Amino acid sequence: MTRAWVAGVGLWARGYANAAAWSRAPDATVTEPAAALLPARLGRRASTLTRIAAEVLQQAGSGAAPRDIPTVFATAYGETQTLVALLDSVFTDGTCSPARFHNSVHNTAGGTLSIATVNRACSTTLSAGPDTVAMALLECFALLQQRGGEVIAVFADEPPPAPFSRDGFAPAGAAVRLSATPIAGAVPVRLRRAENEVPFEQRPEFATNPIAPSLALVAALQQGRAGVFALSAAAGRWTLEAGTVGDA
Amino acid sequence: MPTQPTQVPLTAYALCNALGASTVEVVENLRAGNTGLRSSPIDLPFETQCGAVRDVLDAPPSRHAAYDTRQVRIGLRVLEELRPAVEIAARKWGTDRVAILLGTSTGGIEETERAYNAFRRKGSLPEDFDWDRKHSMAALLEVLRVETGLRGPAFIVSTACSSSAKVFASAQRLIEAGVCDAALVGGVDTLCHTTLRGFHSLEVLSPERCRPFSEGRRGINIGEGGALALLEREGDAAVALLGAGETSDAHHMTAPSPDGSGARAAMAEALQRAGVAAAEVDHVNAHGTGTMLNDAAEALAIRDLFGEAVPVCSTKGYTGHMLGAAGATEAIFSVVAIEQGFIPMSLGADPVDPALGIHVARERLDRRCRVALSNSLAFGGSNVSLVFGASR
Repeated sequence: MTRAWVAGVGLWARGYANAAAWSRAPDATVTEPAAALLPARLGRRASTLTRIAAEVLQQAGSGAAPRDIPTVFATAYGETQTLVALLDSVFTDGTCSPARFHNSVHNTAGGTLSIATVNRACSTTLSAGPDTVAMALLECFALLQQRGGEVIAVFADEPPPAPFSRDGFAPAGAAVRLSATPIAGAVPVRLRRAENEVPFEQRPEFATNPIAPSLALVAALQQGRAGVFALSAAAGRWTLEAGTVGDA
Repeated sequence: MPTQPTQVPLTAYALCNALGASTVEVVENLRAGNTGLRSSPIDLPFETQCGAVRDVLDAPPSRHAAYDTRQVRIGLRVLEELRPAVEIAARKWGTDRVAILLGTSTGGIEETERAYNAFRRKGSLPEDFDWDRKHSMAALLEVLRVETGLRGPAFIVSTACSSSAKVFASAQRLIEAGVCDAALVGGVDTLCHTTLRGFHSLEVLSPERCRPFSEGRRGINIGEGGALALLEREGDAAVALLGAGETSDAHHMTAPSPDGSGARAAMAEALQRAGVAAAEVDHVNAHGTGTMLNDAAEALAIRDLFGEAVPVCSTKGYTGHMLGAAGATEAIFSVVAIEQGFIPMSLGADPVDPALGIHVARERLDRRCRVALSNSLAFGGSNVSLVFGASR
């Protein structure tokens, strides 16, 4: 596959407000993403997942709302908070809120953010278990090869509520904006299937969050660190190779 | 540089839905104009019709016991028919070079509903419930990977009612980009409380059989089923995927843009990528849900792009709206139209709403069909159009 250049990154994880904060100690005051992209009417009902997606999308767009850029949303489990609230009302008193229903679909963040940013380009939402981050980047590279221009990948998962909750699943998300053409001062990246499995170092609070590989990756890209990064939560073979700024 | 679109032959397909448990049965009922819609098999506090798979579905083999959901059972039933073609493709291209790309909106939620209900009554989840093997979207993917031995890229697209149309677009992209040489694509959704009660809460569920494009339309019926197809870089096939268009309405989570602009843009993009002029399209398989808003906006978009002559059909009156499985099912219906030379009757459409201004097929049209376009429009304003063409 062809190379791409990193035009912007975003990161929000509980305790970490942005990509630069990832290498520092967690900040206990970072508990909810600001999600300034969401207007009040969309923001009121937005889940943690959709708010994280809004936050990292805005960061990756350098603070601006991305217009008419294809976007790939990656979430293994989707809107679990809204879904479980819906199941509870259906099986407790037989009621079903229409807003809860339409906000329970897997592409809620994708649809909401397309509306919030008036982005009419192709948007997709995918899920691939432990390979969710890798497959989203694969779709991004294929989109770049098909269309040129830019594409944004947004990775986010929120912890499933009780009775489905599990340890090591703090809410988190990241975003990468990629360009098909070189940008001065940007890190070149290439997606590769490695010969051998590349290990992935977990932080315990995100150990079972399926999009965790995107956090370390985005933090490294933000620092301009070259290297080969594992894209699967379990040790896997999909990797992103980041070069050095200015590599021809 | 952006790549030139590659025609991707569709070398095999299989279907299972309310019209039948085998592809032959489904297509014969489609040709005959028989509906699969019946009263709901799920106990609900309101009236509606559903497109349920009526055959008894076998439990998965014991190696997949932990993955036993209705979704997986339907998926395996459809795969069974396609298995010989998948094995040939795996040998031809190598297992690493064949992708599995599937669409679903419900995943295994029907099982999650059962588990949550048990939790409410007993205070604990059933012992056999496993979030990753039953609820997670990736569960079906995992079962099909093991069953087929395919090791290429594998993901689920879940964009509500456009999910399994989008995987055709992704497959074409991945083949064009050289990432794989073939892809097993499709989708599976099942009936469940969440979608039936959810669409009822939105006041778009029809109490009677749905009637897309009719002046008497009262909303949608939900259906279930599965559809799988094999797309290959090269191969002997009567029909190929020529191009796809994908756009967003950026308008509303559930209502289509009333001017049909998002759907129109998706169709225009699909035609442009396919290298096909609007006048060359012989048939449009519409999303055609049977709601007032969808059918009006989609008809406006179709009329604007194709004029009033192109025969339009919605097949929701046969199968119900299969949500995450609708796109792949209707893509295959479009392929059948080309391959077998008939445009299905748009069941329930008569008398057609005269305000729509499009040519809705009020009876089956037996005629040569070289190019067909299939629309899928979804929550979140997700629009997909696929263009298929005769390859010889």
